[in-house]
Amino acid sequence: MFSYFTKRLLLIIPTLILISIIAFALSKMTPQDTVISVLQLRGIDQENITARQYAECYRDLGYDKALFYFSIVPDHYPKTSNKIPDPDSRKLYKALLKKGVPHMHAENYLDQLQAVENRLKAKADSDSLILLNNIGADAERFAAYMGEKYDSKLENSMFYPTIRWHGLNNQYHDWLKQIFYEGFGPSITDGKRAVEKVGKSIQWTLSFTLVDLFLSILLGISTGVYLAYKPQGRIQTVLRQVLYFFYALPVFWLATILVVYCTTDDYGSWTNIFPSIGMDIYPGKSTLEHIALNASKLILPIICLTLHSLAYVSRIVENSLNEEFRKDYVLQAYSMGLEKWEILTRKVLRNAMIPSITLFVAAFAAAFSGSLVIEVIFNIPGMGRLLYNALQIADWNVVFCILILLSFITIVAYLAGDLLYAFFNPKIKYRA
Amino acid sequence: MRWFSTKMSIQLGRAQKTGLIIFAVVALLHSFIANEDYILAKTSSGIQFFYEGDADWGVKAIVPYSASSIDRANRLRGPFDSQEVQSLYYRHWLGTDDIGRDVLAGLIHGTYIALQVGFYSMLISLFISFVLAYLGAYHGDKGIRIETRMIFPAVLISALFLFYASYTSTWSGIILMAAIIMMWIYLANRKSSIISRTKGVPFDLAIQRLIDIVDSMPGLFLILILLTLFAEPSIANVILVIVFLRWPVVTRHLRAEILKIREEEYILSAKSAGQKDIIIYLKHVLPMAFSPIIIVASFGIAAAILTESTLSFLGIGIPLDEVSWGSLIKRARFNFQAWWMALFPGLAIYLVVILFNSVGERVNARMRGLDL
Repeated sequence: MFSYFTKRLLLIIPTLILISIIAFALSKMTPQDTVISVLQLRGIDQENITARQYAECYRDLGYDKALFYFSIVPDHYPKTSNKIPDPDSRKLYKALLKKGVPHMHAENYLDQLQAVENRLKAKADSDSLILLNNIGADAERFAAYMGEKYDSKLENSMFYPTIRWHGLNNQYHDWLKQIFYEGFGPSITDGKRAVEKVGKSIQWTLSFTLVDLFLSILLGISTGVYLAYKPQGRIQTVLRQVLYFFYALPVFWLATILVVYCTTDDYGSWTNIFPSIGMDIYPGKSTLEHIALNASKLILPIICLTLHSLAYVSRIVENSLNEEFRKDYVLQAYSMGLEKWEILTRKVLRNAMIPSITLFVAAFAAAFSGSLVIEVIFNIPGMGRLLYNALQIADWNVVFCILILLSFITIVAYLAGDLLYAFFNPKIKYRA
Repeated sequence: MRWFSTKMSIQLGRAQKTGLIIFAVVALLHSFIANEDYILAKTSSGIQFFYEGDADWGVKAIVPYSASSIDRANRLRGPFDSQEVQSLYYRHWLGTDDIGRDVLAGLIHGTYIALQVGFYSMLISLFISFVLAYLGAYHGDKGIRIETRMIFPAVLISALFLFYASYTSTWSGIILMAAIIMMWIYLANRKSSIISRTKGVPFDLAIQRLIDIVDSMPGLFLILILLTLFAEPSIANVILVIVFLRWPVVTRHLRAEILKIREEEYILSAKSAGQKDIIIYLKHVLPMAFSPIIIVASFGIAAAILTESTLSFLGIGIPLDEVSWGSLIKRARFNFQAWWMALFPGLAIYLVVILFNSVGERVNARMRGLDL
């Protein structure tokens, strides 16, 4: 078993590398332009960005480098096709390369276009300005219109794959270095380190999700036992219906209703028993102090989450207890003369709880990612909202930090779950 | 029909049957139930369907508003408030939202979106898991065998074809990809001579590792990240993203079921009779997994509808002008006094989720009852 878990532990590393590569590839596929966001952070309006500023920033961020350690491209491709900073020209350049134009010719062609553009700028009459405005949208048609020759004879009809080796001078490597030396690098909204921002949010998130987890496990198990002990009881039947109601209720709806009824005077002041949503800010205090001072505002989100997860946990516990009660050893215990309560506490409960370990471990891992909906409705600056906001403005450093942290926690939690499972259930044997 | 053999048929309660029928009818006929235009109108130029404008004579829908039609005179009116309408027929029975759209019409359109999201996402994930379960669970790690001497050339050719597929036009790309798949199918089905050594393709292991990787990323976060990849929001994107999250669940359940079924003796007898694997899988294995598939599908539909409404509530994924249950509740968040904007869509989500969950639970209970 030891070798099995060593193997699992070692498997974490390739999994994390794979996740990092996937995340990096995803960030390169998104339509947002990070360069513009970075320039805006430096205090330049989007309209006033000059081509030179853009190009400098582009090189600063290292976007002119190749993406990965190596690339397999057709032989007429340059070493990297990211050298050109201007996004429109780069798009045209890549389109030309894909058509089969050797990169020398494609660069020449772009230079010719640039010359035409400069001529038009110098002329500066209305016709040429209109043309200039359209150049970005459709540079190739523009060129055809201006009489610049696009020679289709230059296109390669046949090409061969070549491997281009970029060494350590590539974007993925730079990004990995940034993770290890600078803690995922700065956030583009305020220039703070991504790790710090995530650290703050995770405290907020855990402040309510851990309470929810604790309450729902404690209450959920006891409710489940209560329901399974006397399945046909009148109180139990009603309670089961109520719990089923909360189980199927969408969390965001419950939260919205609770906010509307319990934090405002709109439906009578007697329902307004909770403080209004939105966290108070006390300058100069740490996040933990903030959480402590705003604790009264976390009660409603906790109630909301707990009602839902309590219903879920109690259902699972009840079902697995019922399953267990149907087994033969229970019949044998009855025939020995044991009371139902004794059978439950001595034999059934332990056996029934073993499958739930996986569930609780998964819930623990999920506690770190928080609940986006709850955080949005109750204005809690937790992980979900941080990720949501970061994605809206392409703040990739923060996104990576959250994604890799959470994946790591999930993997480790599942591994711990399997260990616990083997610990409590001697029947389980893992083989490497 | 084999798929509905007596033992495996799903017997639903009356409430569930009516619920499913109402859901399907409202969703499929949504434009006949709620529409501001004439459904059938007699105009000067003959009889026309879905005619907007004045007509001599025509048939209107039960609810005379479309989901997006705006009644400027009645903004934020509740079901019991006084409304400025021509007659009782034009009354907003469930109130209007803050820009004057009818809540009932929105609910009906939302049903259609819920049906689309629920069923399409489930169908696609079921299809994916049927294929993966055939490769992985049915054959196991050693079932599909390829001659050892063929592996290196085949991998090389596939890599080369993939390279050309990614650097040429879309159509030649599709042809090349098809060629790769055909080549592997041919290699797997090739009768190898006795002296040549073969190696099993570990599909089962690979698929399980893939499931582990998708599972180790946090769900809602994955949805958010994937949705930023699309430039334009649309329902199709939401469906694809839900599929991406759902296929591991479906595949895991199906795998567990097929591992049990493939050990049965009738499978062995079909094999010894010389039946092809794919035919055995389609004719004997999948029909026996019918009940578990229905269970996983109905829970999956409920989860997909819940996910979609959560996303529209947050304002991500579906287009902003599209009315769905979640987007109705989103507007209620900023209009505290309008209880009707939150209550009715929430009730709709609740009922549909309960409906599909109970179908799943009923089939589950029946299946276990048969097993015991």
